Amino acid sequence: MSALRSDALLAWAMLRGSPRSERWRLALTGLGAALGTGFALAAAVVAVIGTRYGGGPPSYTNGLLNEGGLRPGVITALLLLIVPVLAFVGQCTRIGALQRERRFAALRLAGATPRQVRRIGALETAAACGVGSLAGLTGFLALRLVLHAGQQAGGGDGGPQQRALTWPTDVPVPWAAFLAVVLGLPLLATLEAWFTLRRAATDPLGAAVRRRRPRRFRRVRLLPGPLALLAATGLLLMAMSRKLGPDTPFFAATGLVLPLYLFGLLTSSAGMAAAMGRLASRSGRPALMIAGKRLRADPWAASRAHTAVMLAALIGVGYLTVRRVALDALRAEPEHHPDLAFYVGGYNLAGLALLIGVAVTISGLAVSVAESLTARRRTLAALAAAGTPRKVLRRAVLLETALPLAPAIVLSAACGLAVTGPFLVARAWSARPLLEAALLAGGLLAASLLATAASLPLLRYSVHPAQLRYE
Amino acid sequence: MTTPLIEARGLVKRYGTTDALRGASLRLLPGEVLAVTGPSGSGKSTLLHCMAGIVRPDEGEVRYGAERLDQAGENRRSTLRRTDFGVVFQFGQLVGELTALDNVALPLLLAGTSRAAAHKSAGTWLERFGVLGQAGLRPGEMSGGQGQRVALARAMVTAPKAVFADEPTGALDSLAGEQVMTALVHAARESGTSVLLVTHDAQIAAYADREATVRDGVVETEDEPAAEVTR
Ligand SMILES: Nc1ncnc2c1ncn2[C@@H]1O[C@H](COP(=O)(O)OP(=O)(O)OP(=O)(O)O)[C@@H](O)[C@H]1O
Ligand SMILES: [Mg+2]
Repeated sequence: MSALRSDALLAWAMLRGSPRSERWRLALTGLGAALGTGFALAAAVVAVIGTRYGGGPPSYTNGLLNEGGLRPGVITALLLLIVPVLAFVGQCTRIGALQRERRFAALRLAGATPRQVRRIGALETAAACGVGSLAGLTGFLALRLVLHAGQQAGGGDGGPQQRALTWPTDVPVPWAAFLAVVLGLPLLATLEAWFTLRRAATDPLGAAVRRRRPRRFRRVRLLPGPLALLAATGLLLMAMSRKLGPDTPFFAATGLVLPLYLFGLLTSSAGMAAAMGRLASRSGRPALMIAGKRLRADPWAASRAHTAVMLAALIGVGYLTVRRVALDALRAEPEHHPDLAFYVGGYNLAGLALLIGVAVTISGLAVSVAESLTARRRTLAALAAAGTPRKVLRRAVLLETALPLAPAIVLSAACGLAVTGPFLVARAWSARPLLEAALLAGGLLAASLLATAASLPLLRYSVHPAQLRYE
Repeated sequence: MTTPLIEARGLVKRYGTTDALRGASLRLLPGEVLAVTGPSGSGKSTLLHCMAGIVRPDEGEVRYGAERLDQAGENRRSTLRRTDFGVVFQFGQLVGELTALDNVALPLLLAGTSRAAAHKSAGTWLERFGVLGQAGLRPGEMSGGQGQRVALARAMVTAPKAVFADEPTGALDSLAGEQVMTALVHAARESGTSVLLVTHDAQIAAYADREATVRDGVVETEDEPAAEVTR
């Protein structure tokens, strides 16, 4: 315990002397934790509705909360939102990675064991997430109070018994749930940090000895990704051609094809980035050439940063298709489905959750671009000092995002369409889903480029000649 | 003949296709200042890293008393760095986020010493190296010479058996370099600490009791130990 105490004191002392990037990292990590806490608490509230803690039978204006059969779906959606949040927090740990590695090396040199260094690093994350989680809890409670007051005031006549509420602010959340969320989320993030720090903490010479040659990267393995994609498509076609009743293709699709597509997409992204880099670096245009060289040198950086966006494209297109097909089916027979509005509401809510997930994902991309700009500032400053116009550098940075991301998004959207293909084929064919998928892909790419552009002001600082003089 | 404090025998270390060390042997005696010189790229730093237990040699052995450093685990070698050994490099060994006082106290804090006690000894050593006035500054806010004195204070704060210094004055002008060397040699002699000093500056090497030269990854010459090491 005293070891933990002295590690915590050291972590605190270092935090006080830390550069701005470090504070940004911790602030953003805390923000992620606050968001995650909000989602988890909302899920807890929905989970309590209708149980013996929830008091009386639920009556809300939103059908999703009333129907016992639909609430698990709502809870799942809310909990799934924690996934992009954790990805965002993971993205944040990359901010200032270079400085952190140097600090860890210096600690190791002074006699810290690898475990000790990992513990200090994880403690920093734990503290940031703990504070963020508490902020999330405060925000949640405040929002609940405000909504509750609003509902009481706006209710007008009729006793509280009859009046249906929009928000479930009348549900008492058990203390255990608060405790579990406020402790559990930082714990989860800390475990994530502990895991990602396993390699950062090993080399005691990192700072004191200049790296003689840049680390060589493994060659990109090109085969497994496309193979998985092909296999998934083959399986899908097989399942569809068998025509084993309306349900079979769906289960085949989600059970086996979706994981295969996911694996294929994730493993081909680095290869795609490298291939685009090769193409671009042959071009005569300077911006393309710079972007291409960078992509070839480190295709993994691109694939790391873009994984979440690819997932968003896949899930987004899948959602749009399912929604379109399902609602069309309902609308085709209105007499059998008097509660159409209820279903539309449900799909809209899922869509909102997805949108929030995409927003978090795009913020993560902005963070990673900013990170890479500051980490590569010496290279960028050298390019600028050698006479590369800033406009060219700006374009190169945008191209670095666009070149690998455009094909990645198209491919992911195609996979999303393919997974939901059985639905499309089972219903009457229409071009609407295709159009929607194209729109979504375009929107995602545009949003990603905007996020990249948002980090460009950092370039001015990164290319300053002073970056060449120190260290 | 005195038994050596640390003895390296037949060290081999390869980095990819480069042979940094090709069978280097060297003895560091108790209480002596040993200078290691040689051309750039000859393997001086690698030899120092191996003898300090920072890097593991591919072949050969490093004996510290009855212990084999080349076989010791990562944890044991880390612990030795905060109890028995101190290291000083040309730059980069201080933690940029910590004040000079915390930097010097670091090995003690890592070993679980109370904060107050650690700061007290750190303050004493900062004073001995003439940088107590800089106790509250961070490495980026100090001059190169001040930074190296802080690094020396940290190397000495645990009352180590040996200090490993790799070009500790490499980034300093000759006056600052001489001041740092005088401070190091003085403190080491007083506490009976051995110093392994890597340098390619003949003036700096002159502070040593013995000298060894490294060429192409082997120790080419090593002065015989004097009958008695001068105190
Ligand atoms: N981490 C490393 N990775 C790759 N090669 C290395 C590494 N460390 C040392 N080398 C190589 O080993 C050889 C010896 O290096 P070392 O640093 O020991 O030389 P040195 O005598 O200290 O040189 P200098 O006087 O320039 O500091 C050199 O050829 C160097 O390139
Ligand atoms: Mg050297």
